[in-house]
Amino acid sequence: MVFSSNIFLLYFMPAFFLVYFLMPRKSRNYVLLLASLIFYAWGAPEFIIQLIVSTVINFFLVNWMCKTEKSNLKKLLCGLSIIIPIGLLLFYKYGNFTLENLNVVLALTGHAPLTWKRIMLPIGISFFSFQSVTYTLDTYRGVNKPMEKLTDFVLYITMFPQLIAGPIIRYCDVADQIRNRESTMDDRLQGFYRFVIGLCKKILIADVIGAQVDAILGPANFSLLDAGQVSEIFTRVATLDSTTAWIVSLAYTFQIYFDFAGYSDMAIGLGRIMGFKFPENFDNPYTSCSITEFWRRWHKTLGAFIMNYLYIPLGGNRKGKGRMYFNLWVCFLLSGLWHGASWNFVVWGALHGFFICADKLFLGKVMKQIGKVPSVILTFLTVNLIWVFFRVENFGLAWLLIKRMFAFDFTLLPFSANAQLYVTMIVAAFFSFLTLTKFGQKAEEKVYFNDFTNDQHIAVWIVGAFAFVFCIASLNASNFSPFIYFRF
Amino acid sequence: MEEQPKPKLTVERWKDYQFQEGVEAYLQQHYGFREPLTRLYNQYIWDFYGKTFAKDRSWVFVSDDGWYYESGYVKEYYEGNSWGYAEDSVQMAQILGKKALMISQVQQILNGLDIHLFVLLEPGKEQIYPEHIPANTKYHREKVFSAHEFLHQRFETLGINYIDAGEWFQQMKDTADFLLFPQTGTHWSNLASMYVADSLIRYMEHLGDVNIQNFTIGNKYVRTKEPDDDLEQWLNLIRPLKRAPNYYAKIRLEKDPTAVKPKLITIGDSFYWNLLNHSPFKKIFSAYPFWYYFSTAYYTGSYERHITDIDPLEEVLSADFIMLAYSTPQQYEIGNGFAERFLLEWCYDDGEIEQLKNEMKERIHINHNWMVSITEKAEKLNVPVDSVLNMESSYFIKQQPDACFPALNDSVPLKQSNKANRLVSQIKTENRD
Repeated sequence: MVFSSNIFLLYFMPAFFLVYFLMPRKSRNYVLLLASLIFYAWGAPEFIIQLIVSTVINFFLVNWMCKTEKSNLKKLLCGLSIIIPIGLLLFYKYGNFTLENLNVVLALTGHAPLTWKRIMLPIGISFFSFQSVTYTLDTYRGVNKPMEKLTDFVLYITMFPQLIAGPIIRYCDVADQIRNRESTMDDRLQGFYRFVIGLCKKILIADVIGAQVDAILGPANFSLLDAGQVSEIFTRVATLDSTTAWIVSLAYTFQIYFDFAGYSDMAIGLGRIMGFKFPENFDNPYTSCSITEFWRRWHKTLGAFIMNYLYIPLGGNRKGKGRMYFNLWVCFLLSGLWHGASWNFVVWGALHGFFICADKLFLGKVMKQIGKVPSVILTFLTVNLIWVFFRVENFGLAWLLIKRMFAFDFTLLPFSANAQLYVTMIVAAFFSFLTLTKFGQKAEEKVYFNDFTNDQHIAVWIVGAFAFVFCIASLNASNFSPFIYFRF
Repeated sequence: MEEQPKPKLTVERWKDYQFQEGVEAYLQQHYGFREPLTRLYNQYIWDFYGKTFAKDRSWVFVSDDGWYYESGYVKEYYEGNSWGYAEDSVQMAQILGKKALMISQVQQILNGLDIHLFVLLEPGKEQIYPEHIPANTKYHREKVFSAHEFLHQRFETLGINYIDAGEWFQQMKDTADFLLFPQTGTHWSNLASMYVADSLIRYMEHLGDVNIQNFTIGNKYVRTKEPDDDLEQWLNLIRPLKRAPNYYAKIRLEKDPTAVKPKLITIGDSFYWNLLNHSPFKKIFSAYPFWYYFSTAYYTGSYERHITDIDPLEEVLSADFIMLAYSTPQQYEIGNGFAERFLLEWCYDDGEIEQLKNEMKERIHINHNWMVSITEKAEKLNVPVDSVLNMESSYFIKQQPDACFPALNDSVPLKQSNKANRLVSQIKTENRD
């Protein structure tokens, strides 16, 4: 079930909150758990049993781990508790990829290829597997006590607002809130506003832009297309003028940001209505002055996870500069691969890793010297170019698009030819770069984080309700469009 | 938009996600205030960007002086619709020439049975009012073929009965004191369709040498009910568009006890609906089935069936008049396979058709690339390869009639199936009785 669908907005969400707030406080976690399981079973019925079983096993393993005094057994149980979710992730996410590459090797060495039934990817597995790992490691490290109640742990893993595409919530950030939380009227209103902001980002910006990107580049994955359709896409991209090629790449750059940030806003908003304070996932990433800064602002919870559970355990910067660069690159290669089992994501991660290392070596200093605005522009354009490899899984097509971008045969496109796309991109750019100004920073602080007076609440609620209705109206006109990060 | 049925819940349907998809599609169409919300968004898109989501994003073109055109007609004007059917004008002429030849064959067969086939070449809005077509419309290819011009000429050569309403409208345009096509509509105007209906009745009387009940058209008046704004209705906006008045006229049936009530079968496009709804067709004809694009068959009232569920041969042989009625962009596919299907059943019995299908399947089998594409299609549809093979061979028989009708040549007489023989004998017996 997608947040930006009629079934969620008009049926599931209202029914859930009605029951949730009518129930006594003690029972609310059970309502949330039941709703979360229904939510998951709706979208991935074949995997719900597996999700529950693996989560229950993990709960008991971690409890055993905390109770035992034997250090070796503790380590073994910790390892097992990590291997289960990560093993499932590796099997489901990388099974097809591994066999496909193995077949390439077999073909090169003259051996017969392997045949297998393609493995379906359980929705949200990349996110809930990581949350499970944070639970194990945070309790192992003694940061938090383990959950006493099995239902609370299953709730932590399966909570529907963040189950499918994050934010990746570390156990230590939410453990106390699961046990005990307050939901004031202010929380509920602020949560609603945040949800509507996310909905607008998704429906009014990301989906509008995305439709145009898809019209030129086709779907991200070509596996469902026949040879004729693929050839048509290649021909279309090969004949793009440079202006259109840049518009397409910039459009995707805005689409992915507003799509993912929109989802995160909705998740944070839904949580806030119930009294949860989920961590922020984005902090105006396109205003970054370097790729290093970009990663402090983009998908922050993934960055935090990689930092705490991969980079630091690998040795971080404690084992010399050479090892630090190696660790950084490994982290970004794995981050790329985490996004999808395809070589284009590896290239995407490797390029980010390269620029992070370059920042540390010399680029960071250069960026500081050239000043804020030029460094923001350069960083944005770099990110934009690297996104091409993220969007287009076919290398040939990605390279072709980049070649068209730098073919320098720019043409002046009439604004009226695609006014909705251009207006939406201008709006997207405005909100992406708004916080470069002091006014923008104040406005963001006010809208996202400040408390409102009663009069302000009334005004904002009216605007929010209208925006909510308008988004539903626009859903009628559009086709089904899941969030980009649902694939991961 | 296709009406979504209420989904049925079973464990299997839940597991393979069919139930969930069904529920989501159903709820997308059935929730409170859906209609006003749709209009709200359409109005926003229309006002800000001049776009519509009625069907696809470039479905309606608007000129600076407020004339609305459906994209297919604008494309016909600038580029021609032949590109979807053929690679060049020679190939298009071959395809359409064969169609005309088959229509001529059907006409000859039916003439012998006192059944009259004729073609109504309907006008297109682009043909009659080209001066309002938006100039900034971008098309990439040059118009190299006009189905209307080709058919007009070929029908003359082959002696096919036809009325060129496009030519007639062009002559009428400057003298008529009302619009032949409404400003915000795609079909001929209500009042124009009345005059077309009147002319059709007279033409049929002449063609069949029969007396059919006539009607007179009174003085025109402005009517706000049932306006000619079909394009505007498809846009589904909140605010009405500015447009010229919608004229209408009272119709009076002339009493004539000697008039007969023939049966008319029409195969064609949506222009027919105006003829049916704004003229006394329902009173003049004993039956008036409409085979919409030779795909859905509409009978009296709301009764409708898919064309594959009816026996066209039997139905055609029970009619008095057969009309093929197509507007300019649709003329490239005139008949939509009607003549092909009629001749197939007229010439071949079921067993022979099955044999033709098997021969076709054999031809597909030995074609490696074709089989690969059929296997891929079967995998996508999750059905056995053989069922796709069956579908493809049936389709091919209908689409490539020359492969199945080696005798289709105007100098060689067509053979007649046992079924056709039986039906013809029945008609002769009935006529004698």
